[in-house]
Amino acid sequence: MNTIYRHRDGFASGPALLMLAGLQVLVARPSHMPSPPSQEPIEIVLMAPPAEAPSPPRPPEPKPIAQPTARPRPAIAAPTTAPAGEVNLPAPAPRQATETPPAEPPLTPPSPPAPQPPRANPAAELEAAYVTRVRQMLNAIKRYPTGREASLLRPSGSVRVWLLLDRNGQLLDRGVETSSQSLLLDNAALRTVSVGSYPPFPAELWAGQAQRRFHVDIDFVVPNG
Amino acid sequence: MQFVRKPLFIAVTLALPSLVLAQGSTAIGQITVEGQPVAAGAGLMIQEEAPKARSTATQAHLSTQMPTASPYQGIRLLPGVNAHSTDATGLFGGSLTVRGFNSDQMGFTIDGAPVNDSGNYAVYPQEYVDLENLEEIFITQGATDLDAPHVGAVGGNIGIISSNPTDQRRFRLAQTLGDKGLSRTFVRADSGRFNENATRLYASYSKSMVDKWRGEGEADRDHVDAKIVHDLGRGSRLSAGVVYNFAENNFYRNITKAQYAANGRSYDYDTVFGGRVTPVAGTAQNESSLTNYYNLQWNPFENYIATFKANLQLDDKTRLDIEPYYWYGDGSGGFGTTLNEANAFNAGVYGAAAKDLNGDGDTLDRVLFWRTSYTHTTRPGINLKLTHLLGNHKLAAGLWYERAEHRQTQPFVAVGADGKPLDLWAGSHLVTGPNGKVLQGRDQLTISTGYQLYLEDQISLLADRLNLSVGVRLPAIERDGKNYANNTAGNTTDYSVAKTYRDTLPQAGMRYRLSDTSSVFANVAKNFRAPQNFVLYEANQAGRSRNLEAETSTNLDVGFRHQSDKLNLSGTIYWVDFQNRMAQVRDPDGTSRNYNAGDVRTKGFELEAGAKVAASWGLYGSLSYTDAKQKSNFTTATSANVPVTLPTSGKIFVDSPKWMAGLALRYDAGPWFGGVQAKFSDKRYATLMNDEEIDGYVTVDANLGYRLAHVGMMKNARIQLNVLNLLDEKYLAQITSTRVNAVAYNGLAAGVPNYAPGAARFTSLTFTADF
Repeated sequence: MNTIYRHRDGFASGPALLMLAGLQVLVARPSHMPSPPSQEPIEIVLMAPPAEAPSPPRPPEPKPIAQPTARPRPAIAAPTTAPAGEVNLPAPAPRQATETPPAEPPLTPPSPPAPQPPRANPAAELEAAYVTRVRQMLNAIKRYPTGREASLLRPSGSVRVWLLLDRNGQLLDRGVETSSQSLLLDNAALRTVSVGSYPPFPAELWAGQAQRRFHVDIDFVVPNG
Repeated sequence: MQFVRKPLFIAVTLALPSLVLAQGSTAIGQITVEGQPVAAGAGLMIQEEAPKARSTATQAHLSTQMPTASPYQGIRLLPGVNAHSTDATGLFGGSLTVRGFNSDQMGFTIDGAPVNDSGNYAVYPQEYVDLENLEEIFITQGATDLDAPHVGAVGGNIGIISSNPTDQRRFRLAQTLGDKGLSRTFVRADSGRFNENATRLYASYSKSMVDKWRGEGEADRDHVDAKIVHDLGRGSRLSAGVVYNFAENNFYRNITKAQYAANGRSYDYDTVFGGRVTPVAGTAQNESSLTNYYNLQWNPFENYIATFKANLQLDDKTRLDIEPYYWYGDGSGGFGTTLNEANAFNAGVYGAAAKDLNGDGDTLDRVLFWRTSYTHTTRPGINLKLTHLLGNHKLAAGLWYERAEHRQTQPFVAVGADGKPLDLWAGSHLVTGPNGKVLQGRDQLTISTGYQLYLEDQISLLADRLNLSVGVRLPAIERDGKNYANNTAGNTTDYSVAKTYRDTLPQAGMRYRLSDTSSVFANVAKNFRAPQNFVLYEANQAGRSRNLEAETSTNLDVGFRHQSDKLNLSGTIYWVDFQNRMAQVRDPDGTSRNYNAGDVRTKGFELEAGAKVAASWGLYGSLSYTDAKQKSNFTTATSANVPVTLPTSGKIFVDSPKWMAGLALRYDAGPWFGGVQAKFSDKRYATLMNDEEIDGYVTVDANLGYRLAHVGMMKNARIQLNVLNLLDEKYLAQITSTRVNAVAYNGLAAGVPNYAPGAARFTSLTFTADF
């Protein structure tokens, strides 16, 4: 009973996820609209808490003292973050430029991270290059919120912001996909995305798409936050 | 607060958008934003975004200072700050002016709780914190923050923020030794995260002792900090902290320019006690020559601040902050004096005018006592704030309420044969009058109920390029004063007096982002300071009506910022219109009282720049120009009660240097770290008539440290050498009392301003280690 209680989230998630997976299958149909990205399995894995800490409603065990400024964070599939904030994700799983229905439901229960090796695919390289440029641009303009409120609260957390760019690099819309549970951080993340200047899409990349949706994870870290 | 990522929640939130939009989404990846990166600015500058002039000194800079340093020393290099410390360690306090405003005209908070004296707004920075437990100290040079709980902040505010307990268990020990017998021991224990990683706490204790650098006497300070933080999950957090201080310090002597010229900077109180004069009946004994003995000048004070916070994230768009606090202060500042046995007492209050105080049977003597201005304050209060996001508006509404009970007395304590008061805490050995009543130079209880409502809207426009911030605060303070019959003329009966002061203070700011790296900002704010509580008890309440209005100021900042990895730049041009300045004026009946004495207009600019010059080097510089001009002539009366008007209009205001500059260079690589900092100040006037001034100065401080490798259980060990006033500059640093005129004018006698010289070169060595 105790085991079930401790893993209650996992046990409860199972049936719920199956229902959602079913909904996904029903909704996704062959059409002119691009398919849900097949890399979503990686994203879930990225965000999931490590398997060894199933139920804590709290941040997981702190890292050893060798990294004094790092906050306890769930393990990510990516290599460890460089101090400048540059993160190199493995190249996303190869995605067809054309629209095909997903091979399997994109939502799976949390599993150990298993990024797919990049294939020698020019589209994937272009995409990786573009994404890197955007990331570098955002890294240059990122800001931690300031002001009396920020000084008193010193929030930390991670925000997932979605943004809609058109081919010319114009930002059409943006919003918070996953809140950090802090008004200050959500606003700061939105501001960072809003004031960025995005490069136009290379002609060969996402050809035929007038606009594309992106998302970025902005992680605000404060020592002893 | 870390967002808790539960698989089910993730699945739902990720599935929903794709269900709705059913289109692809490319991951850009992860961006990490660190709070307060050190790189460009040597720890003295952050990438500020507030729509008003604001500067910050972070822990990265504070940790390079002497561990005993007071908050004044921590912010000394920031633009616009004219701060001084009575000695190098900071344990004796100091003085501060910013844009012509004194420290008692600025609001101070520690973790959001106000710490200005509830009666006269005085600030004693050495009583508040241990520097290594601080996260940052910020200052808004002109505009008091809308949500700040102040009724006495006409010149902006300063916030001291303590750091949170560490994530890992840690025991830290630091020992400082230095000149003048400096010894400071600091221990801090952090629990690390427990209770399923939700809770962490720490407690620290420090003991500091140092001798005065001029004259005899010492500072002896015990300090305790403790804090507990509990994360409730989903953005909500509870925390509680307490800051406790107990100090018994001797005072330094404030000296005149003449005394400084004659004796040099080491001039202080008498170091030798002449000995009590033996009482002999029938003859007059006079102990007046003994009052300047150093051990008769004491500042014992005990205080603590307890703060509680519940920061509750009610939903994705709403936050409620409930932050009660409690301040306790008890102690005094006392000096040697004599009482004339023949007429020490007000006969109406104490039964008769004369009393034998030294037991020799006559009432002919002047007997030595320690007269101390005692204050006891209890001050519970609460800050409430509700914040809600509505489209591109961030709305906030808040309420502050506090009730301060402030008891002020002035007893006379008997002095021992060695020249030291017999009871520093004035609980015994008190002089009583002929009728047995304890002699008090003042005896009042003021209940000050402060409250404030504020509303603020921050609007984000033009795709977040333009941020507007508009708001209004409505502070009010009800002073309920009770005077108990005491020895001061005009206050020899029991009476009650009440006065309420309130104002409406709008504020509007904007910040516009010109490009990735540049932005401009502007802010206009109205500030106010209610008159201090002592005006309630100034002689002759009935009869002479004085329309004492609160001091008000309108502050306009216009500024520009450039921010990048390598260079941070911030510049502000400002105008301040300060009205109804309160000052002591001699009434035609010969008594000095406070009146609204005119206006001061200040304009100037403040620049600061932080640069990362190479991999391990950081550079910071600040420059400020302040032109604070009096706009009115000062009218008072001579000692013959003849009105006289002094032509002060157009003259520069006191203690406001025209030019100031700060510079800090910081090196940090591998095991070695160090830095040099310099402060330059222009000359300053000590009188409203500008007929006495003190020279400008340059002081240089340096620090050098070495980090040791981990040795067994000992980690992060480091040794730090601090040298203050490296060039041993001799100068007058603080203007402790300003005057109207230093040269007689039309029958008005000359006043004599007082000063405190800058401390001599001072060295300390600190060893810190974690276990």
